[in-house]
Amino acid sequence: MVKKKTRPGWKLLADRSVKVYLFLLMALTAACILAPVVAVHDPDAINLADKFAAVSPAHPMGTDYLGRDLFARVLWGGRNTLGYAALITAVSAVLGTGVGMFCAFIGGRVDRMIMRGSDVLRSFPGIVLVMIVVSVRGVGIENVCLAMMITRWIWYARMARNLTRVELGRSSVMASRLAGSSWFKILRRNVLMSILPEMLPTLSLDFGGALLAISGYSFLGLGVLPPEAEWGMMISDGRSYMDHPGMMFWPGLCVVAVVISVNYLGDKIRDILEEERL
Amino acid sequence: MRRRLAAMILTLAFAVSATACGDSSSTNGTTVSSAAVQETAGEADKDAEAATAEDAQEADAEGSQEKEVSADRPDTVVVRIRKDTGDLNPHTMNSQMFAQYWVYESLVSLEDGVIVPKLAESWDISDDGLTYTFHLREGVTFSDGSAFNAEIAKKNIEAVRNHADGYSFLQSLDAIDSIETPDELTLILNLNTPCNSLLNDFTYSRPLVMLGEAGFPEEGDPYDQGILKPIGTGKWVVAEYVPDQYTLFERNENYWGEKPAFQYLKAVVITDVNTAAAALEAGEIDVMMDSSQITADMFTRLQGEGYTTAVASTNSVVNLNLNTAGAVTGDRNVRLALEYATDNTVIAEGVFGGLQEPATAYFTTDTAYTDTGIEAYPYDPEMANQILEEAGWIYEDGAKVRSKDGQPLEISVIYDASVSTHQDIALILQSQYADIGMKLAIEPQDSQVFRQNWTAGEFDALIYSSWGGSYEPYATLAAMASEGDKFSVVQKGMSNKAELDEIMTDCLSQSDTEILQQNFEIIMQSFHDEAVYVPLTVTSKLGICRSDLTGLTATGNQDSIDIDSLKWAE
Repeated sequence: MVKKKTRPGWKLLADRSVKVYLFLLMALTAACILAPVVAVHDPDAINLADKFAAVSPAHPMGTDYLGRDLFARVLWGGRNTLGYAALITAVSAVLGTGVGMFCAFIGGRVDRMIMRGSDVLRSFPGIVLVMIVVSVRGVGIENVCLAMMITRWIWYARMARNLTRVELGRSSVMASRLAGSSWFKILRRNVLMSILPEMLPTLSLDFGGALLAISGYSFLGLGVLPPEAEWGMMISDGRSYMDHPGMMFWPGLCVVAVVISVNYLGDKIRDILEEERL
Repeated sequence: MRRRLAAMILTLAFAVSATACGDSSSTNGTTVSSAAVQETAGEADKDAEAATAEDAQEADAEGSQEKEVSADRPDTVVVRIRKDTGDLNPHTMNSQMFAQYWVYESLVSLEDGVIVPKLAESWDISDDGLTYTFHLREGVTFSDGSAFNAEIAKKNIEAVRNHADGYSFLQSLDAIDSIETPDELTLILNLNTPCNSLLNDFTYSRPLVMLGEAGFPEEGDPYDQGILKPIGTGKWVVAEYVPDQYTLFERNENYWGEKPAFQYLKAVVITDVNTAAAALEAGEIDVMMDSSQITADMFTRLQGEGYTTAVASTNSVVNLNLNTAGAVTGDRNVRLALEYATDNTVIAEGVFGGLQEPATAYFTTDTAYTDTGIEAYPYDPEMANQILEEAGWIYEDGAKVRSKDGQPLEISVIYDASVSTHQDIALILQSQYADIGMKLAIEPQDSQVFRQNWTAGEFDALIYSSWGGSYEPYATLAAMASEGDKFSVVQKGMSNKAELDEIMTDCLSQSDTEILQQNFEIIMQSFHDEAVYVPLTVTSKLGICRSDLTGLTATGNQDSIDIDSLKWAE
């Protein structure tokens, strides 16, 4: 009897930890997306009479030093944190993959020039680049995102380039070419479809990295501007009120939960792909 | 399994022993960790002090390494400072004022709003206000042992006068015509015009303070050539300076007055106030004091934990400065509405926990001539709404923000991001102004960018603490009357700006007190009628120190760190 081969997706879901992390990630993301419905309070509404309120049904996570509902701020803040991290990761991945595939396809001097240029960009420490962009264009989350995108696409470009070179050397590509397929079609259907699964773990891990970076920059006061909520900025605000740890705990817990989840999922996807390859 | 358990126990034991070693005194007992210092008390402290007195002498001889060691001993008080002290050149503006107060002195000083003798024991002012005769204190020496006399005082004043352009806030430099030194202890300043701010100018921490002869460069002045050594007549002498880390001061044994109880003062740079609070709790520092960074919550928390605290009201006022030439704030009705819509009692309580009083005007009531009896605008959001309605700022199509001729009632407020409380003020103002249909955007800015935008007039509103101290009122008036100065930029759109500039300039040299009072009445009335400044709170200086220290006092000088009377509790 021939054993039926399990698809990688099902194999991933067979892991109990994956289910837990996936559920956590999805639940948190859904709650943040549905913040206008789930959160009763206005996240920016100041109520000094209610500052540092304890956890209660009215304030499931308590309130901060200005009496703002922490539950509402965590959910609305999550929209910013998760949203911008997703945006940076998506733009970097699309740009990087495109450039990488182009370089691998063109080859020669253009390939070398772009790759050496990206090496130079890569040598800039991220924080320095963010500082430069912020000092020129001013404080704001959009400028932080821009600075982060400038360097983050390079990982994807290098990876996509190497994977594309391997794919282009396969006989299936040559067969498609002989069958009359255009290069564009080959790149899109043969190459891109083959390299995408390989890039998924990087995408997942990079999302965690981008989230931490955004929170970090907002923590330093470079990102989201007040009164808008953002997890990193909320943690920064909480530093001055150590005897009210809820201000740091809840957004900190969310950051940890998301980063651990995406990192675990990324690792797991990579492991399963490795097994498949073997 | 058993082997793994054994390994874990061994690791734990190693970690515990390593931690214990780290906490204890090391080597020959000369290195006492700060945590240990905090734990010692009574007899133990006395023993340690006796031991360290000898060690300190050795430390001086053995160089900087040993000096650092001595800084952790009980005869050293460790103070947190926000920024590096700087090179302590008394004639430039680059060093921190609190450190200049420690090292240098001037002829007079300001205490509780009153000018009191310092290096001058007394002074006479001629009836026409053109001659100031200072009678200098006898027996004063600089920290290097050289004598302080009229000649060195003249040399300092001349050196500052040579670069008068560098000190726009000092009106007296232009007024001084000549300096005479008839004898060692008499200094006469002849003026070409009366100068009301002259005595005030000698109360600043710089530049009209006295540098010893040995500190002057061989050629040129300290202003452009720097100093050779920071030699002053103050209570402290610089013993060691490690840029951006710490400055170690030693007690000036030649000081003419009461000397500090501690032999050493170590000023450690800790930029972040939360880190400083943690350092205080960990026993790494003994004292922290400032008027802008310590939050009310931090203050009350540490007070509750038994730390000694001190509060002093200064004469610096946190104001919302409205750009009278701004696109929206140029409309006087908008500014008036903002005055009525601001409830500064909420800010005083909510942001400062009641440690700061609500302010009533740009100046505090104890600032000379400025308390003219004008009542501050009351908190009345209905009146604010009415003013806006009548001025044509209305809600269109159910919008939450008012608009007029298609222009929404939106303004932005800028502030120096390094002052944490200003963000909280901005958030509360944003909430209060939303009630009258105004959108307030919050823009924290880097200190330098903030000043640039202010000077360029690129703002609608800004939060700023007035200079306070000796600067009030004359130096502030001089800045307000000086075209191009950031203080003048705020008033640019006032209907009577030209007339006001003349009156403010006249105040600087007006010797007739009746006319002077009338001038101030016009100035304060103009500020009020034109609604240029929304007074928020009167700044307080907060001090916190470990509980086994006594004598913590905070003076009303917001630029000083007052540690002179600190000593170990009995």
